[in-house]
Amino acid sequence: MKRAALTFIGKDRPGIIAAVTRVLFESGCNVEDTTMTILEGEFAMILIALLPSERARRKLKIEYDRLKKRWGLHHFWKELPVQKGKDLKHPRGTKTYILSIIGKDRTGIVYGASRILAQFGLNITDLNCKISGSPARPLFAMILEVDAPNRFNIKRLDPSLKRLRKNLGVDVQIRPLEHLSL
Amino acid sequence: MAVLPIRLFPDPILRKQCRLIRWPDPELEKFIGDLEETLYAQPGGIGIAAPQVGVGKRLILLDVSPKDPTKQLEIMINPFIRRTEGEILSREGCMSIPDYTANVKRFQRIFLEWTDKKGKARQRMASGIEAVCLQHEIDHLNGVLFIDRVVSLKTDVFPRKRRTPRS
Repeated sequence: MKRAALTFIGKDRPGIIAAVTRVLFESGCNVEDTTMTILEGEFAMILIALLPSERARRKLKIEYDRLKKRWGLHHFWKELPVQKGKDLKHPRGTKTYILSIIGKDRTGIVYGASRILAQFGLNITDLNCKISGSPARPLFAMILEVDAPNRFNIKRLDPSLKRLRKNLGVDVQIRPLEHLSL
Repeated sequence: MAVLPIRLFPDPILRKQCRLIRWPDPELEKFIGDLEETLYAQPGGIGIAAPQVGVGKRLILLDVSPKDPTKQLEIMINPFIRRTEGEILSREGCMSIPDYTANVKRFQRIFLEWTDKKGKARQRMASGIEAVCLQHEIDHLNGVLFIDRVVSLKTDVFPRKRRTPRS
């Protein structure tokens, strides 16, 4: 048994996921987790697969090199321990916050926000950006999901976020994401 | 009173349209007591709907006091949402779909009508967390689960944070 994290990037077109997962299926591999997105027409996918044997691993490597030639699909491979890690995306004892930023597009917004969170040791668990508005007046929107330990006082971010607001001229909001058990 | 077993997805009762409760219903009082006990036996549970214990009747219980101390237990028979406004995002989990949570967009404010356990017609506005919980529970009465409402790209599969059971 082997486990691996695989990434694929290439020009988006119908059939990419079928091509990627056909190889896994025919090699007897199980997909344990996956996500995909398209950025400006570039397809990007990450998946974690359990490989039944060394033979399956070799077969995948050969097939994915073929896919690269046929589909222009670049791939990267990282071996993982066979036992699933205990590193949860949202560990116990943490609270989730949503940080949203909207304003005139300019350089340094993603860096400015993520640097503040990094300074406080807070982990970003999700990030999405969108540029809208007219080409003359592009508007940048970003939503970050952030994990903070329960004992962390989120108000500690306020002075830094205030500076970010002022320096970049963007609107910045942070609010808790409620977890509801129903 | 008794703690009833929680029906888990894909139990077909969770996909059924529940029927209106009509007076008199001789089993109703005991059932409300059992449902209340079942709700409080769930770690962190703040709402429950009758189909979650296998009963296809339009009854929900809600106690959001752990999130909002000004609130208390509400027993709502035949609840109906009349008007809605605004949007709110929360991360919901469901006792019937354990260890699975998702970000769900709901209405921020709802105006609802229901019958209380004495058979009296009631109505009021609800907002925020309470409105989210009500929408989640009323969905159960229509065979709708929170996973049907996932609009965000995000569904996170991880054991949701367990708390010690409330007694």
